[in-house]
Amino acid sequence: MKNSREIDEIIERYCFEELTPEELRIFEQWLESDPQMAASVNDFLSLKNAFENYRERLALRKKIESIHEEVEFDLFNTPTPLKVVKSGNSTKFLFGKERSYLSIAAAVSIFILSAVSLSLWMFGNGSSKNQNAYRELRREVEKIKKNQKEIIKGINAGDSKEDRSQFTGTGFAITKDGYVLTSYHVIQDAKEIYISNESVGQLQAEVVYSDKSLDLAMLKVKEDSFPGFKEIPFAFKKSISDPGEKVFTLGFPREDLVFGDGSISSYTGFEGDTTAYQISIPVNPGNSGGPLFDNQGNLIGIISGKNESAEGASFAVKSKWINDYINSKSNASIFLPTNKLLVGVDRATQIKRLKDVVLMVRVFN
Amino acid sequence: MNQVQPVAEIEILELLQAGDDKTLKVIYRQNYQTVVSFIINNGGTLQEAKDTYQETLIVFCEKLKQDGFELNCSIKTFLYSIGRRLWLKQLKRKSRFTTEELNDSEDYLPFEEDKTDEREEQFYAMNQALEQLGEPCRSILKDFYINGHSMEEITQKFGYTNADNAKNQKYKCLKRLKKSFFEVFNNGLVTNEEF
Repeated sequence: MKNSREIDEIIERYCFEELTPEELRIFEQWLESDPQMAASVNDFLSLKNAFENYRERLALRKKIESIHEEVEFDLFNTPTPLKVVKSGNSTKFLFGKERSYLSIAAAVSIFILSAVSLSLWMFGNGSSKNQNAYRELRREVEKIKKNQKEIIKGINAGDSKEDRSQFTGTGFAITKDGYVLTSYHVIQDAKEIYISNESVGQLQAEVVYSDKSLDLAMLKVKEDSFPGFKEIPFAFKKSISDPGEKVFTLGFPREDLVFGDGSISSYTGFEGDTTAYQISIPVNPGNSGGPLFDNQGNLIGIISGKNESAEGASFAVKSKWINDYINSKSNASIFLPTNKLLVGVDRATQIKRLKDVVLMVRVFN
Repeated sequence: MNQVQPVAEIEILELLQAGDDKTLKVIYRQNYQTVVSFIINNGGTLQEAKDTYQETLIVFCEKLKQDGFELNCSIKTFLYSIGRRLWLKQLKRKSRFTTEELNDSEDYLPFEEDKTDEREEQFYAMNQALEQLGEPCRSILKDFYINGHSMEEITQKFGYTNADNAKNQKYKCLKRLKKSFFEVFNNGLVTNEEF
């Protein structure tokens, strides 16, 4: 009698037509006499079928996405019918020449506005100060505490202070088995990293890889007994979103999860940085690394910083770039989430489903 | 559907069936507005419309490859009908579906549940099952069954001391995958209802 692994292997080899003629003869006899075995073979065949189907669909999806990227420009430069008007039995689209004039007028005015605001902005900030205007948003917890202690105690010379400052930021899970994204500057120079929220408690994590220029870091939970995150509810958006779209973020500017919402204000981030959006969400230290979602709950960016010299100008790295970066780094072992559990439900429900995968990131250096 | 299929479209179909990407690109561009507008006019956002349109093209390509595939209407009508069905399904999932009539701009084919539907469910179940597996299981199975890597390559890549250890691991992983795959696949409808 063979053990179950050996039986499964024979079934698999049978389904892949790898059995020798001799083995095949014996196996087919066995198959006839044992209905249980026939059922197992059928199961494996549907699984094999599902694998093939999966491979084909992935390839197709990739191809169609790349087609879309190629023709995207043309698509959005032809007028879109706005509304259907039903008259009797025939249905017609309103194309309307006025519409294209309108959109040209709108485009022109946006251009003028942005040109004006850009020049104003450049005027207002001496270019040498620009570096200082960008503020990364990790929170220096120990510094705040220490400062307070010092104020209370007065400064004692000779006090042996441990040189261990703690930073916090936000991160979020992208796979159930423990991969987490956050900003590079949150975990920069970290010796130890802990991630925590209500549902997973506190877990130690390590950096898998990071990229300073994109301000991105991928972490992985280090604990052996980690049972996994809950279902990742959102989908990773691989294309660019447009200004005007409503967006929201969740983060840990304090010890509890805080919600903030606003819109995308610009296609580019600080000083025309094309890898980021400008967004109108008020963010605070600790928000860095937080996920940025659109109305349907698609992940469209990661909060990275704000403009100190302008009110309400925050920045988020675009998900498209993050996607490209992750794809270039990992040999297909990390799958960005494509779930749509946030589509068509209200904001409160979206947040309820998201709060288990948004994490506070604590860093010790 | 009394439309006669234009002769030129038969050639287009043949090109598509032969896997000509240039033709696919043309088809993609030509029919984008029709399907996307339909979805936007029936309660979808631009993003949803775009996603559904891409899904439509996937289903279209799959149907082209089916044995005995025959098209009795124009490609436009066909794509519109697929997109319409997918969007209806999505509306049902979201339970945003009202009894109100859909705003149709084109004629369409009423589709019944067919083979492609099963493939959709299969893909969904496989995706869920792989998602639920932890590492290294997911990568091992994907490498072997989807990317077609050999057991030797996998043994090396994942640092197993010998091929038998790797095989044993793969066996355990497959067992878990099988379980969750059939769980999702057999309850496909239930999971769809939930959301």
